Amino acid sequence: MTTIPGEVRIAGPGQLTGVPTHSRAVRGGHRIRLNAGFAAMSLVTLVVAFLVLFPLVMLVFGSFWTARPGFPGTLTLDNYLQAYTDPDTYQVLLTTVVLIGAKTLVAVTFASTLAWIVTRTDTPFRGTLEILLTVPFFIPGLLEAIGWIMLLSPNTGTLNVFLKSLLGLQAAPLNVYSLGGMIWVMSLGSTSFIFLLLVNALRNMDASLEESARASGAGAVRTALTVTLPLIAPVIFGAGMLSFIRAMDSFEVPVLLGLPAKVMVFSNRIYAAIQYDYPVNYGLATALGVSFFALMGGLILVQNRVLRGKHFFVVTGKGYRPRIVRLGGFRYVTLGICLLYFVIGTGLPLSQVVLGSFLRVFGLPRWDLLTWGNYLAILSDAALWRGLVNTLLVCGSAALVTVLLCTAIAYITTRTTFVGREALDVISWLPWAIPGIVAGVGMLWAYITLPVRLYGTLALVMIVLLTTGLPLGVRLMSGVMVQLGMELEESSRVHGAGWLYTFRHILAPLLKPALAGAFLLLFVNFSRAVSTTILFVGPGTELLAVSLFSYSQAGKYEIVSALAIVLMLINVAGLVVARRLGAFGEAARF
Amino acid sequence: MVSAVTVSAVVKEFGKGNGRAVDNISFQVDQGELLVLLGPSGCGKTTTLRMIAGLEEPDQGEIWLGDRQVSSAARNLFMPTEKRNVGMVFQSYAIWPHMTVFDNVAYPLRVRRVKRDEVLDRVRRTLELVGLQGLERRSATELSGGQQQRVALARAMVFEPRLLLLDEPLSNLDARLRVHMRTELKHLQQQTGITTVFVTHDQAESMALADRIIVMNKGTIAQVGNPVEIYERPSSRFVSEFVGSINVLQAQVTDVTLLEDAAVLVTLRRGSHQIRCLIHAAAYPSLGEQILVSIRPEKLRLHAVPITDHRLNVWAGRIATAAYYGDHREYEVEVSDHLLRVTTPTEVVAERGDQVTVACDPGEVLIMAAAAGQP
Repeated sequence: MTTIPGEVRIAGPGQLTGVPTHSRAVRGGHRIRLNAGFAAMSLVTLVVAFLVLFPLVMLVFGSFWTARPGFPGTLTLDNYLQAYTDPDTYQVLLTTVVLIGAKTLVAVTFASTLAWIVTRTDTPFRGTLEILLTVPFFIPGLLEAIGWIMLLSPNTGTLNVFLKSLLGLQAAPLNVYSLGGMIWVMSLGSTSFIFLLLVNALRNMDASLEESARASGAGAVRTALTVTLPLIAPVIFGAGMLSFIRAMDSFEVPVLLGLPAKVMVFSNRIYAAIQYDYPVNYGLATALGVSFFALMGGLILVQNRVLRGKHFFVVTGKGYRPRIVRLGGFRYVTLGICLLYFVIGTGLPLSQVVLGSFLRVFGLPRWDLLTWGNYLAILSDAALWRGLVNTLLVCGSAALVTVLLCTAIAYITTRTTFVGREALDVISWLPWAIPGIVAGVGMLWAYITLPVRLYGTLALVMIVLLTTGLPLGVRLMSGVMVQLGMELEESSRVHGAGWLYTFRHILAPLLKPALAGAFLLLFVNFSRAVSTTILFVGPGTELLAVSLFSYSQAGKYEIVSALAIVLMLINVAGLVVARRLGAFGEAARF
Repeated sequence: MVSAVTVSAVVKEFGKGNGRAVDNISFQVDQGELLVLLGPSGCGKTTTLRMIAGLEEPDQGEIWLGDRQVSSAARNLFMPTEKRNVGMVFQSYAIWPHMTVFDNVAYPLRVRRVKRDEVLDRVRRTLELVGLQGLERRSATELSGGQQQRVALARAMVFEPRLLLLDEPLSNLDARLRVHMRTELKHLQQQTGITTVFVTHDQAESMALADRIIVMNKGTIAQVGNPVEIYERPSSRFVSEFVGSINVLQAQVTDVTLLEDAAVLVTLRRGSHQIRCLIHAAAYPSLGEQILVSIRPEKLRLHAVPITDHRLNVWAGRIATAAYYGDHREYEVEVSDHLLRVTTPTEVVAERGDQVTVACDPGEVLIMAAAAGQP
């Protein structure tokens, strides 16, 4: 819940009240006036509650039902019994923890080293390096996974082929279809995210804190150990925890790399239960899904508890010049480290995909095999073409609706004393704790039971995206609203303007850049989504990201790489504009 | 004549168990008056102002603007802020950054659907009034703090509201500009005659501006009066200490003797020390009473040699600290076990350790009953 330090000014009853009426109830010290404002806020709350809670309830209900919801059946505990008497389930839990724990450790190590080099040393070209190291943030995770498959698949992976011929080996030295491969690919994915958080924190840290340690007689090392590290530790810890929790939701890598090698974690096990088990094992999927949700929700609560009151984003950001450590000749080593990381982590997989998209046959590049054919194939394939159009259409409209709804939610939770505002805040945040594939199952069941035929329509895909976009949208918009002084609005009201007039002439114009930024970020996130939407695509409702995902499962790398490039271009365009609009800082929190 | 504002038995609580931000206060503001609500942060002054503006709803009590009741908890009446026709300047100025100076000032007129020509004319006149002519096309964000303050003021006055509310409008300005704007504000208010309620925690500001001051403390009214009354005759230790600097000494009355020329000689005991003190006969204390003896530092005089004037309070002491401030000097003088602060003209020079005599007129000694339970 948002609180503003200092004098309590954010909220007072009657901010949204229109004409005084005589119906009043007193509850919890606040008066409720039944008028247009109250009705509108109740409506928003009901809509959000429906979007989030209906699928969640159906999911939980389904996990205690012998058949799919809406089909005749009885209440049962069998699903949970089946899940928890099966030793495989515990293996899945263990693998999940090992995979995510290991990748978080690797990512944190990479990220903190790189962030320190870029912000606190005199390494040459560190400005350019910083930009290079944030590049992965713009690339869909799916593309990176595909890049690594093309590099390291045991039979055809270019790097493997190259190493085999170089070292005269019989078998491929590296195999991306393994736990190690998954850890590697996933840690590269989250390094840039943690890197961004740490760079912000290290840069915004008040240099005088370190300078006073130096002035008190501490050397560089002692200062680093006694001042810098303790100050930055909560940020590293927080970023690591955030990354850990988010990774539980990761879907593409576990399915693409884990399934072929039978390395099962929660997300690909649930997916397999729905897509590959015969008969389709919805019982297991939901029982695991609910457990997964409980685990993730619990972890988030722990995270909030641990980080409460801690300065996640260390001390002010008043543009202090951070202390720079002079490395002498060693600075070329740090330059080398950064370049090496960029070349291996981003350059290799990216160039592999780019190259692959222009090759007639996937494999080592040869001039005579270069072609535009893959791109032409996409354009001439009706389903892929529809996927592209649908992606732009559905993700665009979903992002628009999400931004508008989230603006309303953020307004209610940060600027009014509406009785349901805390509940609204919690509910709109809930999808954050629901892993995408689990949410997908919940929504599938929920909307199938409705008398309106939604399944198989783009409208349903839009609703799905809208629901999953709520947490990001609300955080983005409430972050902006909190910064926007209440007095700007109050001043308009005092000087004679009603709520609507104030919204149109004051709030809306001031929010415009933030709204545009949030729209683009949501659009990019939606265009990448696979786990939530995969259960809802079919003939006519194809989406680019899901097609890309399916083609990579089928191993059609020529098409896949060209598709991936198209998706990446859409993403990069969106994110570059969003960054221009200043929406990037907020995005880094996700 | 009906008061411009009447606040009657108003109570405001922020959430249960947080105590009362405003605890049953009542006062009136006369037509054309400049009333200052003065108090430390958290005393409820801003909340009171916001309730008059309609930005907060009182939990109890009633508020009238003129003869129109705008808020009554008992009748469940609450007139929304936009219907109250008051102008307000916020602490942060709340200048809308997406509008020009002109648009900011024209806003209240446009909301009221005033005709274009008249908007143009009135905005121009108001900007002239606050000294911002020629800056109409500037973006509000390009202005300095002082200029933003003037824009906020112009916006609050352009529609000739019945009441002007100012919430610490000068607190974000640097010291020099603050004094300048203070004078200008007073001048503007006298020129337009607009009824004004001004909230501040700065006592110097309140003295310079106010026709009348209401000193607030912990949600209640501590004292009401004009600046002279508040400074010269504070009704409590809180007011005397909050408004200006003062020496306060608590002691027990052990003897009272009535002298000629309307003075009383009291003998006080403080620990093992006996203090003789002449005070005005009007403040005749009773024997055994615990009293506070308070004297403003500038009412004390320093003498290098012992003086013998029976009509004055005369105490012997030693200079503990001496400081020079350009336009005056400040000393701390040890008198028995007590440190007295003394402010003098620059001509009065003494050094640390000097033996001196502190003197003051009996009429300048303030006597207040010590609050029960205080040491």
